[in-house]
Amino acid sequence: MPVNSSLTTAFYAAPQFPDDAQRLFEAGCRAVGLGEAGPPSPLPANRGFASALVLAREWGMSDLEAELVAAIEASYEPTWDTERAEFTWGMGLGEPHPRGQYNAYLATAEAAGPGRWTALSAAPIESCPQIVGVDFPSMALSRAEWVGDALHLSLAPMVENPRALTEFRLVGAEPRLWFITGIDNAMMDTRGADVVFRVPMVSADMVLMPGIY
Amino acid sequence: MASWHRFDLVDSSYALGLMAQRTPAWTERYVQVLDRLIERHTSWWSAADWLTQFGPDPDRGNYPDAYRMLIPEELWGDYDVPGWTANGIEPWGTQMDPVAADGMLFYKGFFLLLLGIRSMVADDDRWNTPFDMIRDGDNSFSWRHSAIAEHLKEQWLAAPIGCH
Repeated sequence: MPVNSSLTTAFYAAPQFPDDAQRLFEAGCRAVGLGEAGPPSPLPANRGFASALVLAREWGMSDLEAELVAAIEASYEPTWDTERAEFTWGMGLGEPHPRGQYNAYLATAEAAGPGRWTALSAAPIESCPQIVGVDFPSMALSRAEWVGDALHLSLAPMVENPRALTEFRLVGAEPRLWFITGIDNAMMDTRGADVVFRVPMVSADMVLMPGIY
Repeated sequence: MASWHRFDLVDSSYALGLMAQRTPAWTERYVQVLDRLIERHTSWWSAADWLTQFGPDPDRGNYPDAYRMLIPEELWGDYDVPGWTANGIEPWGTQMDPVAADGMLFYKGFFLLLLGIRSMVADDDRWNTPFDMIRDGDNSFSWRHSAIAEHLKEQWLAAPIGCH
């Protein structure tokens, strides 16, 4: 197999054999000019550059990450279809439908970060009270994370409209009142064991702090 | 080799697993999408190559030059390109269950990856209850996540070179 295929092999090997994966990865990078003469322009349509970006972010290789981001932005046609709420890459192929596998790797790179790919293989996500019933894709959460007793939510509506409300629930937490900070005009209510939140359709970093029972 | 429907399903799961790490208190959507991907991977189409590519590739003699880097020079014209599944060749014979089969490593291995990512994200153990695969008359096969993993482990232990 050509050595540049190791860019994808290293992606699969990284969580279990990081040292060997890094050697493979570096050989693959050299084979396609990354970090040296520069990658071909435009980039050929394949998985390798996207999986390389995952690993550059996984291993905190910021220079390589910047090189890959610039090349991918220039060659792979990142495109928002706001009517369908879809973000895809055309890859320069001139095809009516985005390629599934290539887009899958590029989407993985968008979600990648230091140690994340390894962590996914290491242990299940820790069980915690969950937000459910978000009206996706009209509303999404770019952060939903417990920090101590506080739940941090970053609201990311597709279209902002402060006069429109959307609703979601918190399940699995002890029934109680919650203090809401970071957003105006948000309301909460209890429905059985669940807590229901109504918030305006705005981008905001809201924090739920436990209040009285 | 990777140009089959199931690779779109499996590869799409990687981003979901990473996104779930970014929003660990909101995993509902990821689990729903992963379940749909897994459901599709239980269908006949997930194994369309294994269920249609029987015996040696009849097109062996007409491979493009680009395949030369994948095939030993002395066997050019008499060797299947990697990815041709060759169900039915001796000594194994025809085996219609792609999981139980002696071959088809890249089917069950990647399916386990998809199931494994779902198990890392979801609270429940849905795919460890038996489910039907392929679902084509007599060619229907019952599996569950742990059973597939156990079967593949036994195949690796039984053959030092691994599952082909």
